[in-house]
Amino acid sequence: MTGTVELAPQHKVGLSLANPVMLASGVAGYGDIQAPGLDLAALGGLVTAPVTRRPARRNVPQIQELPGGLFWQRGDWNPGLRIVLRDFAPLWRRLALPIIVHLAADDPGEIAALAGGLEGVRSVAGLELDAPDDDPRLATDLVWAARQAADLPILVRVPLTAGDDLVKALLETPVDALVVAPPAGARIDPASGHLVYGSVHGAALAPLVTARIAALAGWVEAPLVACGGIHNLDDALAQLAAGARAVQIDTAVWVDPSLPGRIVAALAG
Amino acid sequence: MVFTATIQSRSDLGSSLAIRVGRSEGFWSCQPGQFYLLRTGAAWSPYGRRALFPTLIDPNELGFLLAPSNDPGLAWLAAQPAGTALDLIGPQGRGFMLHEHQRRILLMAEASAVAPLFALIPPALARQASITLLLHGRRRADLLPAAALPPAVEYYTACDDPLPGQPTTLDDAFVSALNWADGLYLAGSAEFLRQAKAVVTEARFAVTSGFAQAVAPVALPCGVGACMACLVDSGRGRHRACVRGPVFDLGELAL
Ligand code: FES
Repeated sequence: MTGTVELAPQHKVGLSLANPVMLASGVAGYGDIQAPGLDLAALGGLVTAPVTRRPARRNVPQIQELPGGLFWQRGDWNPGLRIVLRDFAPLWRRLALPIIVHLAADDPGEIAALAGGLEGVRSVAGLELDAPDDDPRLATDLVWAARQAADLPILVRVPLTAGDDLVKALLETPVDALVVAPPAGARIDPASGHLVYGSVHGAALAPLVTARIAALAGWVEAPLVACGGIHNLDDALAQLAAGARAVQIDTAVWVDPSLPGRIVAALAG
Repeated sequence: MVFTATIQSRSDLGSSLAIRVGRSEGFWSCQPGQFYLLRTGAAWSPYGRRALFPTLIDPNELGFLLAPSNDPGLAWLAAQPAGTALDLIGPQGRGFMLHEHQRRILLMAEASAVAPLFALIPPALARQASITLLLHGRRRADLLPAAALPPAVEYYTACDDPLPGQPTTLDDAFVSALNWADGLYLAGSAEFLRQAKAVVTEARFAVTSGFAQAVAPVALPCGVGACMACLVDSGRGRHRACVRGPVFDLGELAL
C-alpha cells in the first residue's frame, strides 16, 4: 500500500511523494506547527496554509467546536507571499519533503501573480488552489491562470458538496490532481447573530469523503486525493481502497499529532 | 512533549475544583503562564484539546484549577475520578518572565481566569517577594477561599453580589496596590485587561515595558500555532498567542 506515490503523472517533472500521507492546507501553518509528537519528516507531503499575493489582515480565522468536529471560518489572514517565502522557504528546504503551497485567490490575475511568484522556488513542489463549487467557469480560469504563470504541478480542492459539473470542467484544464475537500457549511455566529460560512471538519466526514472518492474513481483518470475525516488508520485505508492515491490528514492532527506518523508506519508495515 | 499523566487527587476549592496530576516517568518542566493541551472525552467528542494553565508546577506533580464552566471538555475533566489517565501535550507557548529585581508582586485576575497567576506564587515567595492577589468574581461563590493561598499572600476580593460592606470592584485596592508594586501580572477578559491598562496608565503615566504582563484574552483552539484563530495585536504586529504568548507585556497588547 505504501511506497512512492505520483500525484502528477502527466506533468513533466511530476509530484512524487515518498508515501501517501500528507497534511491538509492550514492544519500545519506554513510548516511551523509546534505540535510535539508530529514528525513532519515522516510524511509524504505538506500543504501550506493559504497564501495571498499581498498581506491580508481583515478576516481573522475563527473556530467553533461541533459535536465530533469543528466549524472553521478560515478568514484570509496571512502575511502575503513575499513574507511567507522570506520566513518559511528556508524551513521548507530543511524539512526535505514535498511542499505544496496553497494559493488563496478567486481572481485569475491574482492566482497568476501568486503562481508566478512561486515558479523557480526550489523548495516548492506544487500548487494547490480552491475551486469555487458554484462557478465551474471561474474554477477553470483559475487553473489556466496558474498553469500559464508557473510550470508546477497543480492540485485543485473540490469541496465534498460540489457536483460533477465542476469536476468535469476541471478535467478539461491542465489540473494534475483533484482533492476532495471538507464541505462548506454555515451557522449562526453566536456573537453577531449573523449567518457565517466556513468548512466543516470532523470524524463523521470520513465515510462521506470515502464514498465521493469511490464515485469519482469510476470515471476520473486524474489522481484523487482524499481530504477530510481521517481520524484513524481504518479511515485512511478506506479512502485509499476507494481510489484515493493519497490522503490529507486534516484537523485530527491538532488533537492527535502522532496520527499521521502512525498511519505512515502502518502503511509501511 | 506528549504525556500520559494520572489524576492523583481532586479537591473542592470554593466552587472550583483543584486537581493534581502526576506521571510515572520524567519531570514536569514548565514556566508559569505556559499551558498544556489536554485531550478530553473519548471518541473525538468533545473534539478539541483544552488549553489548561497549571496552577502548581512541581517536578513530580502539576496542579490545575477548574472554575465552574459550561464547557463540555472541562465538564468531562471535572467528572474524572482519581486514577484517570490523561493525555497531555506541552508545555506550549511562552509564559511569564518573573523579573529578578521584583520584590513586590501584584497579581490581579478575574476568578475564572486566575489559574496562570497561581503558578507564580511559589517562585515569587522563594525569592522573598511580597505578593498581593486581587480577585474579582462575578458571583461571590466564584471567589477562591483564602485558605487556598499561602498565608504570606495578601488577598483582596470583590464581586458583583457582595455581602454588605464588601466591594463590587477592585478599583480602590488596585490603585493603592499599584503605588506599592514593582511588578504586575494580570489574567482576565479583554474588558478586564482594558480597564486595568487604563488604570495603570493613569496611575503611572505609562505602562512601562517589563512592569506588567498579561495573559492574552483569547481562545486557543489548536494550541499548536496552526489555525491562526488566536491572533493578538501588539505594538510589534500581530502574533499567534499560542506561540508568541499567551503572556505578553501589557504595554504591548492592543486591547
Ligand atoms: S490556537 Fe491555533 S494558532 Fe494559536
